[in-house]
Amino acid sequence: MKRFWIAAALFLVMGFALGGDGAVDLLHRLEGPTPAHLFGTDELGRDLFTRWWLGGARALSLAFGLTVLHLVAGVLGALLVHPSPWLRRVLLAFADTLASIPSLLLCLFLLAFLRPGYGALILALAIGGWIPYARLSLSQLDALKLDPSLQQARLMAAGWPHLWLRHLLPRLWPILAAQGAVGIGAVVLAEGGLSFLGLGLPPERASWGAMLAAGRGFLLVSPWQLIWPSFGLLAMLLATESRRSRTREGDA
Amino acid sequence: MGRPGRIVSSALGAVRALGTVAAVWMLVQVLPRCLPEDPARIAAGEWASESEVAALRHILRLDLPLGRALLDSLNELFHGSLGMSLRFHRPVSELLRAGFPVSLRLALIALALSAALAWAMAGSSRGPMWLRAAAVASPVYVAGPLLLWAVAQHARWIPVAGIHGWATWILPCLALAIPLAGHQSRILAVRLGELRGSLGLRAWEAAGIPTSTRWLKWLLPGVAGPWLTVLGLQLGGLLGGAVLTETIFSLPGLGLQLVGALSARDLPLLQGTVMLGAALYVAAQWAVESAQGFFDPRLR
Repeated sequence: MKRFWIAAALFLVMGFALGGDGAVDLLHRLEGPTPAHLFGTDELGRDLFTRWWLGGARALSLAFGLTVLHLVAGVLGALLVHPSPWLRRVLLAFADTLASIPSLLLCLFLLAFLRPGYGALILALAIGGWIPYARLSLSQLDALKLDPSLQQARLMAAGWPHLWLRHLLPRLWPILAAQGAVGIGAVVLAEGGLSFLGLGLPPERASWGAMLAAGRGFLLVSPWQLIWPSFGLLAMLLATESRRSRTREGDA
Repeated sequence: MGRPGRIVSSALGAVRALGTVAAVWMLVQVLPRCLPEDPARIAAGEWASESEVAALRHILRLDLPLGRALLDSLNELFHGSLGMSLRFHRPVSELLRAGFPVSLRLALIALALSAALAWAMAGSSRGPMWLRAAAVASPVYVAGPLLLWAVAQHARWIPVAGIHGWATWILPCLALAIPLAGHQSRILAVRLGELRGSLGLRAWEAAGIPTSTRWLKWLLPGVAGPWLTVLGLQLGGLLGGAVLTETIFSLPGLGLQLVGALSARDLPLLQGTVMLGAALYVAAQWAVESAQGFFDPRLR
């Protein structure tokens, strides 16, 4: 667990320190690894090493940021609606409707009418991302309804900040953190898919998905643009995946 | 509850599913209005005149008040029409029907393949932990291009783009099936492990009940529930995976059509495809829910 956070932080620091979008250099296109370009160059002669680091750091920071956003939105929504059965039902119906659209389709639908950039990407990914957190919190809050300590606090006229901070959130946290571990991987996955389709960040910004999409066209000339991001995505997803199974074991 | 109860609850589920589809249809009508920029302006393109944009707003019902536009579009939906595509000037339903068979075949073969792969990976209990993890961690857009790369070098008889005979389906279905198989096999392995450790099964083993009976009567029914749930979720989400797969392998299905609609900002076709995706998801959920009671007597 701790190792995961250290590795992630290290990756982010390295990524933003070493990374860059790379300058176009048409005289050195599609080269393999050389001392000057450790990972080779892409079809515009941009250095793949720096683009790889920056692309990965972008994906990871976006995943962390969005996961926090999803989590906060989901918990807040659940805490706000759960006192009223009617509001609760409305929220769940809305969540069910949104969740019945395959998430990639929903993102694509929104991105068609948004200006490409961080804002659009965050909006498109965030619109469905809060759902699992809200659902989990709601079911957990239901389970806590008859909890003695909570009822006692209510009887002692505790205000909602006290109830939320001292009683509800600490008990919601473990299950939400486990879901968050899954969520980080899911955002990396979704962001990769969107940039693969050319709907992520603008093309001059390095991203793994876009590198894969571009590398596809030059498979037989220079597979390097395909290999590095594949390796990166595989490693990043494996890391979140192993973290997820560990938290799962911790629960049991 | 006996048989009628199951039929009634199944029918209720179907009604709820239809309600969800109608709700999604309304959602895709409302969402474009909530975005910061005018969809008609974007769809008309940069060089469109004001009158052209106004005409498009009229076609897309963006000039009507929200309630009226919703009622109109729902009315249209009940008459089986999903509107006209801006780009092709043909009914959206016709376009969807044209792309559907390719996507359906892709999805069904991939799902069957993923089930076979998942059982193969989960069957041997300890060995392929890393294999499962790697399968989970290779999304279509990683597995697809890597497969293409391998095939383009070594197996040139397999087509890599477009549809040319049965061999066409090998690569796309494999690419789509790998991550699905990873997720399924993880569930299968966990559940099989639990069941194998259960006292009842060990009692059966000690009593000398043959392996085949143990599988048929204990392990398979015990695994079927969670496996079906995952399978249903995956089937419902396959249209999303199809978008990526069809783009990678240039298969003329719904996914490729959607990407085309996206770059042409063809709002009616986008709305239709999203609704179809949601309808497939709900249908898969409903089918799985109805099938669950068959395996798990507690749910009957």
